[in-house]
Amino acid sequence: MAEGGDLKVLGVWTSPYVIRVRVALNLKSLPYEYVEENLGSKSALLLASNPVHKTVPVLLHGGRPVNESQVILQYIDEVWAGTGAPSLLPADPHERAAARFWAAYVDDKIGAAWQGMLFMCTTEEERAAAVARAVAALETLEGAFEECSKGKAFFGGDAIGFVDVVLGGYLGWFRAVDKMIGRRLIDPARTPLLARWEERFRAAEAARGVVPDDADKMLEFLPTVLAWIDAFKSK
Amino acid sequence: MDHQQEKVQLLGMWASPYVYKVKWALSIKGVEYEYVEEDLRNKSSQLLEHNTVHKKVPVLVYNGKPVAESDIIVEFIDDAWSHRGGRILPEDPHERAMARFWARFVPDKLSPPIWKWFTTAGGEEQDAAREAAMEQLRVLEEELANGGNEFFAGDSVGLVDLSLGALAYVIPMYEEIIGERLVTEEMFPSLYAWMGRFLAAPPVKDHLPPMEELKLSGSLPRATPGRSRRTAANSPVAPSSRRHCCRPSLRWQRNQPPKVVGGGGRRDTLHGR
Repeated sequence: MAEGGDLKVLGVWTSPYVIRVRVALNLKSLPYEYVEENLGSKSALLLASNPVHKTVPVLLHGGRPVNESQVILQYIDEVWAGTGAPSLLPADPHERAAARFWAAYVDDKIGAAWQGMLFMCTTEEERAAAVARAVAALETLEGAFEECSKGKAFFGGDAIGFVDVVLGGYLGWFRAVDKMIGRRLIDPARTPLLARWEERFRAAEAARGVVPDDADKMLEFLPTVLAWIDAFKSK
Repeated sequence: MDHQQEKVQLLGMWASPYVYKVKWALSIKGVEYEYVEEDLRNKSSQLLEHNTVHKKVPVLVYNGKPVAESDIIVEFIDDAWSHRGGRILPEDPHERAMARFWARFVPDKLSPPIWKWFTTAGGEEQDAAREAAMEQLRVLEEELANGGNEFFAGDSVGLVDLSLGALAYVIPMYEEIIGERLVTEEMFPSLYAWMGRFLAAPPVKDHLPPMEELKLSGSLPRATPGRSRRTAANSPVAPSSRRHCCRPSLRWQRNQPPKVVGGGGRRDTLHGR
């Protein structure tokens, strides 16, 4: 199908997992209704759509929910395959496996470090340790970028692909952490390829208005997220 | 894909449930392969070369190119041999999304409380752990019952069945070791029936680990949430070193203090993935 049909995304504007879904929908030129959720007071629609995890993102397509961001990305790629926009995942099985591998690596290593840097640390030492883990993972990803891009602009080649959107979702919070720690996580001196990749990704039309670029705004929102996490933990 | 020069190798370890998951997937597709047993205390140069990032099994090598991480290998097998054997993932995109969702439920939500129940030494904490595990089992029971089929995937084993699969032999083993039931026919009729059916299913029945050795080796799977890779705390012992296998590991004795388990560091569960 070429048209979007009835598409809705339930999200939180800062969530890396929500951002990646929105970028993917934009890449496919699919119009959708965006609903900002308050995770301290979850909507009935969210609870009904994702009863297992009760969290965002949720994609509703014709009223039917799809949950888990990497699952949503593949769903979007499969439903709207061959509609003009390039595929997020390559066609070759080995290349698909490589993209999935690096996407899993991102959510495993960068995801855990991101939570450690912002939400799970109680001291500056803990934050610094999480930052170090993120930087180490980014250095590995620098190598992965060289391998996957084969000299082109993105992990996906000429066009933004699966690994690009998965990693790209974290860029908003990275900018906020950069401000907190007074230096860049994606340091042009240590990870020059990723630093240039970040510029290109942020400049892409699909990312504009969706990947946050205001560190102050993110940092102002941080206490809200921390309060949600505390409320969740105390249950 | 060109299958004319089909050379498939699986690098594995005899006790790893993630390796069995891949074996079952290969069996669904009827793919012939060479199995290479790795000694994880002395990793082969081949393993280190093919899985430079995680250095773990399983690794599938197809025509010289490696694929790592069991969930990813299973999808690769479905992609690479899409023209033959059974379907591991359904054809419809929404059903595929549901299959992937439930496949992730197992390592993310189900395995951690089951592990906690197995390793918590008695008392209130153990009761709480069992209840937490049962809560997640109820979710899966409902999903299976609502489907009304023999397997999560329908008439034959598919992605979700493969993801849950090892628990079909691990749960009864844990129950025997600690002398306490978790999945009874009474409480979980669909899951209980599924377990028996899974272990007897054609792609599975001839590819199961040696149970007695597994019980004694101390290599039972650790429930690290998120990624599917070998995560047993002890260095697992290959059958060739039977001397080490014969003595039951102290870890399984219930008067041991509970182990801290889980992936590296704490994770908040507010954010999705």
